[in-house]
Amino acid sequence: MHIPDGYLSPKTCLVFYAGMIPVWFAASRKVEKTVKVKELPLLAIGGAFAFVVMMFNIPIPGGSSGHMVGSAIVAIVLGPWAGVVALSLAIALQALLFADGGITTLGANCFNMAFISSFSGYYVYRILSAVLSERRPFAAAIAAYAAINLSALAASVELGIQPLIAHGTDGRPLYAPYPLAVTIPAMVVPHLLFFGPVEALGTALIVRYVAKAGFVPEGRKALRPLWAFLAAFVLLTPIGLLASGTSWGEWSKAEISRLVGYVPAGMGRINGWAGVMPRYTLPWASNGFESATLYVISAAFGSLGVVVIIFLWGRLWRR
Amino acid sequence: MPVWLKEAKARRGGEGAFKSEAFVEKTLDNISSFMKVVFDGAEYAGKNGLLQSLEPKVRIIGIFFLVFAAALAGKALSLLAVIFFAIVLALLSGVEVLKLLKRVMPALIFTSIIISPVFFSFVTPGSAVLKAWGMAVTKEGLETGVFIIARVGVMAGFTALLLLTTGQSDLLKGMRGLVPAVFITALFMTFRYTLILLRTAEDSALARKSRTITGTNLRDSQGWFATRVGFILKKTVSTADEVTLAMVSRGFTGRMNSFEGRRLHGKDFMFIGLTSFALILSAGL
Repeated sequence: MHIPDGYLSPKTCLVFYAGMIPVWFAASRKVEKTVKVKELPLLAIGGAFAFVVMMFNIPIPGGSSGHMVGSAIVAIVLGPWAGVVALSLAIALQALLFADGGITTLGANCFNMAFISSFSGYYVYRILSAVLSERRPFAAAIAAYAAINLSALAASVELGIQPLIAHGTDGRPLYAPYPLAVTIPAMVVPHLLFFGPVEALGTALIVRYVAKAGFVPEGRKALRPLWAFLAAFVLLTPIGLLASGTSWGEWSKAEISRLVGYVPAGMGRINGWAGVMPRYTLPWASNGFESATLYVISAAFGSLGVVVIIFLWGRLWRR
Repeated sequence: MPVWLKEAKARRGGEGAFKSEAFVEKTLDNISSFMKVVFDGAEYAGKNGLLQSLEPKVRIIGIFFLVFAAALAGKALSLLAVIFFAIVLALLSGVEVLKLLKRVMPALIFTSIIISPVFFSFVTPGSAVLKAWGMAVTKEGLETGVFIIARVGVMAGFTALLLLTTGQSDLLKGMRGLVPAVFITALFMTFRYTLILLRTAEDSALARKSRTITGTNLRDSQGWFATRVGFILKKTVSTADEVTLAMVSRGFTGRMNSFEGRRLHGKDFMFIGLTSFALILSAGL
């Protein structure tokens, strides 16, 4: 389920980074600000546990075996937010040190396998274990099954919308090439029939054992309103991918005139600064070669700007 | 060999018995391949080369720029330029192109299998270049498929180049200043304790393997899995508590301080300039 680099368009990757950064930032601020020293080792070693649990193969009927992802069990034990951070750490480590999953797709992978699976796994378990208090392994199995399938569904939607949102001028796909009608069944059916049951079985076995051993897995914290808002925003962020046209509030005068029927007088008076080289070219550039040369010059200036920023940033690091 | 041992083997796979202990072997395989990557991964880190001579932070930023340049490339020419950049960078860093290709091969094979239907007319209609068994490979399909495979390959290639030339600790240190310190500290700890917990997992699997003469039934095998993972889970929580106490006793208050990186040199700035140039060009051409 780790989406590699090159399968999602940069636009999609940025949306998911933008969605996950507030989650990671808020979690890091929380740990640093409230000085909950206890949280840090638990999150980090919880990430290590998530990593290790993937290494175990579970024997399944028929003499075969499969391995589990373990996101539901991590969320059930650590709670949903700590689960998100612990699983994000494991996914980041896999991408950065072992090239398992992409760097550009890290935000999307964390959204699918850390955020969605952690929250769905935890809350399905909490609700079911309240109803089935004597049958917690069963509740954990359903939670794990739901978590892995929702993650797979999210990944399949992300892959399936690529032909719609990212294609070349001739309409050919540039990234994941298959539509939703192909990606959803291709991802979801194996998870519903094979990976989901393996995940459910593994999670139930672990919960049954730890419950018997007197170490009852229980989430640690209740959802707070701020986190709920943040969660809602992160969940809604990818909807922006489905929107077409100019971003809200970034209309040109012609677009405003088309939308509302007139251009407000004050706005009409302002022409705005078009930049030194509007659209990376100059009016006298008459052919493709001249435009391309000007673009190369703009790129050189742009990269010079990046060097200056890095230089200044380097100075700040040393202070 | 005692008779009872032969009888036990003969019963393997019989009614109610689990066929084999293959799941233990697979668990050990998973662990050993992970360890191989950990200890063998950065085999070019000690060599004298371009990437190795750069400040780790600069190396990471530059490679990220190149990965994004490959992600943004919309035309074959831009992608070819990025591939050329990757090969030159590998050669200047003392990494053999074949070695790099070997690292990229799993991603290339996986993507080729997934993308292969795109070559055919039932997914990408167009002018047929090859016809067989009522199916046709189209020119448009080949162009689309090869472009996507090449993009995945070159992006995986840049990541592999970074991992081959940068030790794990340098990589994590290099990320200081790029992401919040708390995450870097947590990543360090995750990496360290993954190795410790994996050692426990390996010991458990080896202990079972060395004590098992014949296959056990499915229920027992699943029970073993549950007890081992449950034990590691308990160990995770107790280790976290111990580490917390150790950190507090050494004066940790929750504030993260990171070490300064070395001063950036002209070569570092040149690398950032070149890679950002490639990124901006790739975005526009």
